[in-house]
Amino acid sequence: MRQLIMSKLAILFITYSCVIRAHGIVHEQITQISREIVSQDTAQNRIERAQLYRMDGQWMPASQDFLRARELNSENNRIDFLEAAMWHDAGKPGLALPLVNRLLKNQGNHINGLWLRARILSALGDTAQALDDYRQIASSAERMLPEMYLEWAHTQAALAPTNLSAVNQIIQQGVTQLGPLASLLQYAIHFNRDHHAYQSALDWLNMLPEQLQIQPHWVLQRADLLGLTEQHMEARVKRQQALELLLARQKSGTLSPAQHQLLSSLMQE
Amino acid sequence: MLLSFLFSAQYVQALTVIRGPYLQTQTSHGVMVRWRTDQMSDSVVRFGTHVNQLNTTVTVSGNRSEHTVQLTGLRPNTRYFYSIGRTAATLKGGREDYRFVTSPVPGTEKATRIWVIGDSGTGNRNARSVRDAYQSFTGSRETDVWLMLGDNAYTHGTDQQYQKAVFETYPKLLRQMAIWPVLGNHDGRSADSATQSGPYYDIFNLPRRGQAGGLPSGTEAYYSFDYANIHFIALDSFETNRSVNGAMLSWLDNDLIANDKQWVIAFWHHPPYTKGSHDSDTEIELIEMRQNALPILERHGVDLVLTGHSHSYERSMLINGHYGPSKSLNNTMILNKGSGRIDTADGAYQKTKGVNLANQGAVYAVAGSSGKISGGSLDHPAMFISLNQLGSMVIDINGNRLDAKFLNSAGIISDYFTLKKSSGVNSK
Repeated sequence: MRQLIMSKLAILFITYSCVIRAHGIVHEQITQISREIVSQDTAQNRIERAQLYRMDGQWMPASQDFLRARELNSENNRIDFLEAAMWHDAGKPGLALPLVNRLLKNQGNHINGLWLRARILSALGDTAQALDDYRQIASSAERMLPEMYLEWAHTQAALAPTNLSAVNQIIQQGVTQLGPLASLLQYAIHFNRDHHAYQSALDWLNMLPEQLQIQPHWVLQRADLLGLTEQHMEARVKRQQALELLLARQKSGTLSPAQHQLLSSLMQE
Repeated sequence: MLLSFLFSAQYVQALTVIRGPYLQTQTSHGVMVRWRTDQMSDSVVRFGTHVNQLNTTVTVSGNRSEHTVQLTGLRPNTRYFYSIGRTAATLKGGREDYRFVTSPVPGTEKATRIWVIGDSGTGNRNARSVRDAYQSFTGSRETDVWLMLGDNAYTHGTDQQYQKAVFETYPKLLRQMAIWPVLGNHDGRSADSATQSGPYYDIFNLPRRGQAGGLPSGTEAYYSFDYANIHFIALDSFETNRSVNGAMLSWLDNDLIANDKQWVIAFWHHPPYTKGSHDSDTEIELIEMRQNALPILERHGVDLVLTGHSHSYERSMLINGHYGPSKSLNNTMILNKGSGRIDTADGAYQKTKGVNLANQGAVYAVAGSSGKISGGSLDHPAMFISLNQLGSMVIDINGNRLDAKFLNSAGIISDYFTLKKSSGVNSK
């Protein structure tokens, strides 16, 4: 019973101190929790301080706190993840990799662990291995994020810049899973255009939501791509359409500076 | 027969609503009703436009304790009354105060009241005093939109902490309007944006498919929605990639390109400008949101940016193009250094009427004192006023005019300003 009361008190103390800690800026918070650690050296307090050191870019003291937290607690997967993420933040992927490898050895389908390792491997130049991790995320995650598809596609492009179909397949997978998101489609349009796959870029552009396709910015993008695919007549029609849209905005006084530049260049043509 | 009757009577008595009802993803044609029971049952919402005639029933068969019922086919800008329960019994509602009003048709003008709370998640008497001050202030004027700026439940955003800080603190409001939250760092201790899991993502249903207006974001971590002639943008400043080429800001740019609503209000947790309990010159989330998100927002004519994190109220002048540290603020970035108070010599902040008008200036407010105050130097040079007071923001938008107030926990309006839009105005 006494043990139970003591543990509840400890939880209350930690909870209360978390509330207090939320008050100060990082240095004040570090000072505060350091005082607590003197009287109560718990894994939770060490992890909290390590995270504060991490926010402050003090990698070595953070690492020492993670080390001590491991000694105090068996929750090592979480500590491995946090420390690996810290070394990744610090631009030291070589130090991060063994930690995240250990985490994934213990818990192979840890989505955040896989995502972190994919980033670490990319930073180390091992893009082929990173792609394996993205594939595993796609097959394991209940719900993928747009960001994951973008990073996956970017990593694929880094590995084989001329293999457009591999990149397009990843984006297509994202669109199938999440719908025609502007973030994914914009990436695909730019990637294909940059690699001179203009018709493919146009195909992706056709998938943009209707309310985007009618905006001057995207009408002009379409005109450019039509021109690049030798569809000069259609390109002219689209340029004219963009010009009319911009002139209408100018008339209503709603032309942004960027659109003003577009209008000027169109007028010069 | 008798046994069956007794069993069923006992069951009806025993089944208790222990959370809610609360509303989610309210649009002009639908709303989601959620609640939790202590035992499993099917889910039934009965609703109608008169409190005594809840003639329409939506039933979700199967037994569960977390109930989610989507009402569809509703009329815009219409008051509905409702009850929740199971097939055999009503558990709550069917009273005057179990009601909601659907959003107006997007793009139409409607006098709109918005309530904004930030870092409210203490669940203590501070939070209650802020809530009570608002309820006294607004009286019978219904709230149309309710924004929650993150750190909604201290200290770790657990389900239990949400129960205390949200569901037991705002029960009446929760059953009358949808809540539109963003993730704070404390919510992020138990929620995980990468896997869209944890209490924050379990509790809230947010429009990742563009179902409330705006472009689909593909995630509940960030999203947009429309109410009348206002476009709202909710961003995740904590767990999502904040880089310009990342998915969130790429979505943001396109969402704003497609926007055709007169007013744009963006909200997230970590403030781009603050010298409260946090410092926007030194903390990475704050710096990156300022450097990366603000240029996009300003390019597309954002009017008001609402954040929390610092437990204070800090409100800027009408500014534009300030993306560096606080010391880099200069006069060219300050479009109007006045108070924005319409009843003073300064007058309201003026902007040109129109959609997507770039770089006309925006007001930035930190409203993170709805649950606690924590001081700080409170001297960010972009701010017109900085207060170490408990409180919340009340924003009224009517046509071309936006009036914002900071209402402190004593019910006193400690700050106010007006943004007005008219044709051909130079904001300087």
